Amino acid sequence: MLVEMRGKVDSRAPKKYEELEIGSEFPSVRCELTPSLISRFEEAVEASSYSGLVPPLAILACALKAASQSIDMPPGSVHASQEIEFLKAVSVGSTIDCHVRIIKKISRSGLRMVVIGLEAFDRGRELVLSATTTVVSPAEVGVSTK
Amino acid sequence: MITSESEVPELHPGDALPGVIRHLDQEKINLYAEAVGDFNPIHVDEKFAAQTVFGGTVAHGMLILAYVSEMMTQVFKENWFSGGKLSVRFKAPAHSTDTVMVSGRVDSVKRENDNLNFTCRVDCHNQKRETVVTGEARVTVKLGE
Repeated sequence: MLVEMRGKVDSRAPKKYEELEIGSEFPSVRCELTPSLISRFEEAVEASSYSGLVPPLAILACALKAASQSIDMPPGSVHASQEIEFLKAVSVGSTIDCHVRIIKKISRSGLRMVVIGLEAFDRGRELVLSATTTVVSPAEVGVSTK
Repeated sequence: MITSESEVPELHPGDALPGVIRHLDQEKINLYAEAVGDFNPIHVDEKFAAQTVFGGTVAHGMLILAYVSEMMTQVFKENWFSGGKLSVRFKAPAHSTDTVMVSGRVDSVKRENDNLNFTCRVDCHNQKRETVVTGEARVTVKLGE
């Protein structure tokens, strides 16, 4: 997936669970929703293309990719829950900027949960997607899921 | 998006949405991993995944949600892209050999001014009828002339 860091580039490695601070935000990540990228996505999810629009879950996938560049999601992490709101249709070929922030951290019973806030904006700075993702991972391996 | 009343889906509380069935395999999971750049070994490394609580590779949660989104797109078309909400919990993993059946049912249809708000229950089950994903989808259809 074609993504690039923009703004103040954070060259450090993705932050581990212990380093994550509630409320902290990470540098935005730019994602080009090229025809070939969307075509690969549609093939992978067995979806037919729709009026030259980007499947909403492809936008979320970009935002999650952005999150994985800032947050260490150790091997074995999985999704626990997902809330998504699709606010504006996005055309294939568009570019979006994805913003990531930490909403909550929970550690109990040998598991670690991170609640991540995601937002995607188009080039006109209009919000196109807002999401909250909860990722859970075993404490002993770290925090990783998708 | 403004939708003319004649194009609004004729749905009533209790109506079932047309389901989606997808047969998973490792090749499909790998294809999704490549498409989105998510190579978490729980999805693509059979040796690693075999040693986890899941006992084998599992599909990305977002792949399963893409199937749910496909169902909603078939019914609500562009309205889903610009007025859809999805809130779900992942109850069980979808293994690489599973068949995933996505289903939906209309809970309510409410008109508020120029908007028609649909609330639907959505579920994904595997071939053993175990719940993989459960939750709610909402769609706002903006009505025009």
